[in-house]
Amino acid sequence: MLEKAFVGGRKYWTWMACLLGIMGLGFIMWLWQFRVGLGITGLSRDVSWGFYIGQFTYLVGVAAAGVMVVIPYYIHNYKAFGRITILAEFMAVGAVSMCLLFILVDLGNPVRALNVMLHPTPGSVLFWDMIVLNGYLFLNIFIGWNVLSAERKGSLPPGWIKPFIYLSIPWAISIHTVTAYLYAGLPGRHFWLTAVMAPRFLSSAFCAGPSLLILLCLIVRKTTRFDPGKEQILTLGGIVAYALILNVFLFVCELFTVFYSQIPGHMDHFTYLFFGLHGQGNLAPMMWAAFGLMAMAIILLVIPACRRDEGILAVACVLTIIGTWIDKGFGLVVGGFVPNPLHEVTEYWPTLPEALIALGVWATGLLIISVLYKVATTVKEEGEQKRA
Amino acid sequence: MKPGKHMDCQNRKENSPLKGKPLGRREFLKSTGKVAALGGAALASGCGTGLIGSNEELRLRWKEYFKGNYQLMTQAEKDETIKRLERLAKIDRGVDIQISSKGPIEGVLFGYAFNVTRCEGFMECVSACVRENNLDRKTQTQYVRIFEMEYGQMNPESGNGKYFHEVPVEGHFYMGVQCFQCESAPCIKACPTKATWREPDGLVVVDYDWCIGCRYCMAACPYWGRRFNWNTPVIPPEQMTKKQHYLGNRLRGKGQVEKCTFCVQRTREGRLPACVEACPTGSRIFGNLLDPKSEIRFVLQNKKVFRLKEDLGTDPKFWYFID
Repeated sequence: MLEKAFVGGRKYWTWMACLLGIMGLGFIMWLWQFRVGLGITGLSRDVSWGFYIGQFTYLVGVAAAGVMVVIPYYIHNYKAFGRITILAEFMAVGAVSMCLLFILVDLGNPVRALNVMLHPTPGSVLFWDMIVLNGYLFLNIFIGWNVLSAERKGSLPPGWIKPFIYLSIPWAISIHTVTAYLYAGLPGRHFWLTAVMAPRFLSSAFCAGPSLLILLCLIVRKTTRFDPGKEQILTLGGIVAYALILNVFLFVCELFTVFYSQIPGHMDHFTYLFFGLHGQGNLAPMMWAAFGLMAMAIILLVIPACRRDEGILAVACVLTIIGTWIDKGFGLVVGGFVPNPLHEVTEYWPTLPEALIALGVWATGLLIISVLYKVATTVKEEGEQKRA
Repeated sequence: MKPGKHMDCQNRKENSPLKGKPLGRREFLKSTGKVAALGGAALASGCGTGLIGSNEELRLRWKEYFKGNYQLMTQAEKDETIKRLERLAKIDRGVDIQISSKGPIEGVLFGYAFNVTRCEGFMECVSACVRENNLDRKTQTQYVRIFEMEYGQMNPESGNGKYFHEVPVEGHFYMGVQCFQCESAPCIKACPTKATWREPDGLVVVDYDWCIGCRYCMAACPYWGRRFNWNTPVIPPEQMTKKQHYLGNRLRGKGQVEKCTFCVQRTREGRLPACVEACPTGSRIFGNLLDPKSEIRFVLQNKKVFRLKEDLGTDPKFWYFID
């Protein structure tokens, strides 16, 4: 089926060429980082994780969100989502690939990366994260490919694929839960040491992921002859609305505990993020913007007339994606490190090479998604032609 | 002491190849060596000398890449890797070093105590540590930090760790922090590759060559005890401490995590850690917790002691006391 990705118009190839160009630039920057060390990034002794790990965390959520399509279709027999499960699964494949790449570019010693598998360390959450992410990648490629192959032949998917599909549901939840546990189990970091971390991760994932999926569906409708469907997009919009409200609610729960208890160690991180601490607060404007955007998105999404208008829905999705991206891809990681365990404030901002490497990884993910979507939509187009 | 971030920025500029600084041959060889190790034997045997380096260097790096975790090595394997590392240090930096693999001594559990009353903040301990442990001079990595505290406080979090003036200052006292060698260390639990562990004598050590540089341990440490090599450490050969230990002050590479080991290279030979030896005020006490006659035991039995963040239950082997 992969050969279908090599047939396309001028626009398709221009898009692919752009992605390849960005990937190349990112790769060159990574080679530089590989030679010189992570010193070319904005990371420091105080903020030892930054942009890369933030992107990783965010994208795990995007990947997990595929389950928001799989559950209604396979568990609740909501037939409409049958048209777009493949799109959700392939989006997850692209997102998990980016996650793994972001971990790889964050490693100080990537040539030793396989040590993680050489002597399994069940006590380390990072080890489990590696297991669940790779497992999820495999599951989605495996399921998506088999279901699509069946569709191409005009037959139903084989029965033995069902157990894998059911397995993929808890597995999707697990990837984001384990990623939250990466943070939520560390004794010295008050910002992360909260039981609401995993639920918050899941809620932000289930609004960010479907938002991206809605945008991808709209693009697919514009650029191919396959229409993911109006009902599908509107239902996804409802899911985004619920999850986004839940995400903000859980954040308010966190704020209550932190500020009503008035424990300085817990408050300082939030104070730093939103108001600055000891006169330093370069993230504050972004954090306010994040929650402003999410609030605007909620308003747009809860008004039925707005949510049912695809144009406005798309705007709300963009707001949601940017808002949650700042909150999770930036604030969550950096906020945990500032102030440091000795209560010193060192700020962080990514450098240009760091940003270009991250951009390269994003381009790689988009390339994977583009290739897979090209294959999927072509198969769908052919199927519909045959039936018509 | 200047703030860490500022220094990092400076280094980044120095590091930048865009400045037109030619690629050092040695550095080039090193990275190529690694690529070759990954790329396969074909490349390695194909072009033996010249571009990639001598056959000997390549052979050494190849074998180094495939060595195991230190904890699983037999003594013979330890001896072999030490031989290779000593030879590579000669090839790379032109220095003659001796690396020890001396294990823990039975009946020894190291403990440390810090006299808050006596310390006057001279930071002799900091510079002695930098020299002894071959810490990177470029980013000025330091294991030990001293906080200047105002009376009425007893937590470095409220002190100033970046003072740069004559000491002691009236109305202030000083507290040092470093790795506390926790018995139940969050950093060890975090490591996904078993590259860091606690030795039977209580030292929390790192197998530098096994570390993948994910820095999860740095996020996990509640005491800010770990350091990362953001670049290849720079140590002037004439200032290098040549007597080294595999788990201690031997040369690290970029992308590896390191930490204070209570100077394993010294303490397992019956000497004091460099910071203790250098302290001009006698504020630092070190010894064997299992020896009832040791000074550290005297302090624990006769002084009022406390530890930092005891509520976290990490059980550090580092106490503070007041005269």
